[in-house]
Amino acid sequence: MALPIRELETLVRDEAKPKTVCIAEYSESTAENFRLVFKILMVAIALKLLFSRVARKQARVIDRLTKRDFSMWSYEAMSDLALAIDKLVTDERETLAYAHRLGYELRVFWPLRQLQEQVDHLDSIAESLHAETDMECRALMSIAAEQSVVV
Amino acid sequence: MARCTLDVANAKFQALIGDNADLQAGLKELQTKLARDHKLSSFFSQPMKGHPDYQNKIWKWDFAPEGDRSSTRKGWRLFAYVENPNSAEPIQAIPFLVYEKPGPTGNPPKYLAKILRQFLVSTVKVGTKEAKCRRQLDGDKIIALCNTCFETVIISTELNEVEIAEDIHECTSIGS
Repeated sequence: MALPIRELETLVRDEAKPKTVCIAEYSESTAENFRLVFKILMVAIALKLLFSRVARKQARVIDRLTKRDFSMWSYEAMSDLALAIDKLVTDERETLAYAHRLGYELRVFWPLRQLQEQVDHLDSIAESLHAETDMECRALMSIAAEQSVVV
Repeated sequence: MARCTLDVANAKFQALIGDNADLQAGLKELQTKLARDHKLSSFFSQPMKGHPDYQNKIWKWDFAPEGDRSSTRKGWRLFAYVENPNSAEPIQAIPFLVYEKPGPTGNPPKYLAKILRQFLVSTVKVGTKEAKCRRQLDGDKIIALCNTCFETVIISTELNEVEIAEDIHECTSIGS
């Protein structure tokens, strides 16, 4: 399971993020020329394809994560997976932060809302897995759950 | 798509969350979504490995103020107890904990442990005959938690160490 996460992380870190940073810098340039406009357009189109690809892969990964029974996993495996998700979430949040600096006319074609929701979902999953591997959290959570059952 | 009824009107839960209008509106919206499909709204089932009574029965969702779709929206996370995850629809979920989502640089277990401690301090009523600490077995380790502040008193494989630590424990800050 950590493997698809790492593949996504590579896609975001090595492709989506550099292109987003690049287009953010281009669009903040004060130079006005056709060549710059053309570059921005090309990167924007490439990012639409890239973001859509990330969103599709991520949706599949999230679907698998939410269906998996982690109670059968070792704490080490959960921790590894949580750390892999953390890296992906961090890189993707940074990428989205750059994307949100851009004008609406560029952002409107990208699935940014979907990506933001997916990042939040992955963050929640990582939090749960981290909590699961922390003995104190496990103990406190079981007591809290017990409270919900007590009338 | 399994429908789920989130019992937000539950008296215990309402007493916990108070009158926060944004939170109440967000909960209503969450309740409506889950009535269509329990896997919406960033659903995840907390594994609870090592606690067979609660394995896969603690469900979790993210939600935000009603209608707020901005990238900088604040948000909450909610845990609910689901007695029978495989029951006929709609599946009943009893919310018991809601908290603000931590920021991106947070230490997740430490943050969640603090939230849980605050929750337990405010909700658990310890009787005079209760032991000072409660113990849980986790693998070969005993984790002792104070019944007042819910701080971890000691984690050890040695029972006599646990007993000594429990005897000398003093609560320093309640719910922090």
